[in-house]
Amino acid sequence: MARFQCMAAADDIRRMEKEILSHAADHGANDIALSHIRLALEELLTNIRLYAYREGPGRIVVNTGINSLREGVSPESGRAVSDNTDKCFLHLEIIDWGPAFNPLEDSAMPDLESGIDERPVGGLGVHLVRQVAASVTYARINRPPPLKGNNRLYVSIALSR
Amino acid sequence: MKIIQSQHGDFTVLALAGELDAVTSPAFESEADKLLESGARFVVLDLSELTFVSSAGLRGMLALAKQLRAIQGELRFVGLQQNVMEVFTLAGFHRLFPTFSDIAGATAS
Repeated sequence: MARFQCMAAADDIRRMEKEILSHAADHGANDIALSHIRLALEELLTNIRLYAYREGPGRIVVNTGINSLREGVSPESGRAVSDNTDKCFLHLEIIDWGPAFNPLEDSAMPDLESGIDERPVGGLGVHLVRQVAASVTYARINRPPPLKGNNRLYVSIALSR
Repeated sequence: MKIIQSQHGDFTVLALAGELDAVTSPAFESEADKLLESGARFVVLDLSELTFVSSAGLRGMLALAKQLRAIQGELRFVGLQQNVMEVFTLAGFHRLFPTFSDIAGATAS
């Protein structure tokens, strides 16, 4: 596991994104995976900067893990159906200490079929994250005062396809 | 991000180089506003040097397209790199906009 942190300001977020991308590349992420990781980080960290910390920059921590998830595991034996279905994933745990904010809530699938005049401007960020990630979930961790609760986003992205 | 403007007949071409994200999209939107104020109706965004686009960039592009349509204009795209094309596809933009491989094709009426 590796740990990255930054303040929720554009320049510092960009620095941390570069560090995470370099870390992912060192662990075998191909160009497509790197563009997916970059996109997910950009969308989710921008949300934190603009909404969770709208009253001023706060701290963001990203914990990462990389493992090989065995797909097609038999429920009876617990053994993999095929060794050829292994995939390696980058798992991100993104933590901020802002007020409770779940960006996945109310993020319905946007209407991708309508024309230019009908398409609303905006609302695509979480949709893009869902498209490039194998999974994305949110949890709010509450703490008794004076401790601060935190928001946690868990994102898994395939390192190769 | 760098933005370079040029004129090709009736089409104004904006070449975007670098990354179009939440930090850089206000600069793009400002250039787009200037373009509209200058009376441009037919606009091509040359993305051959654009290495990254996020939802903030898409928002600015769609806003420009809507304003151009309101004045019977049009927005076209040229030179999308693979990862930018993927984001266009995921967002359904490939159905909304004509995309071309070169400026000559994009600026032909």
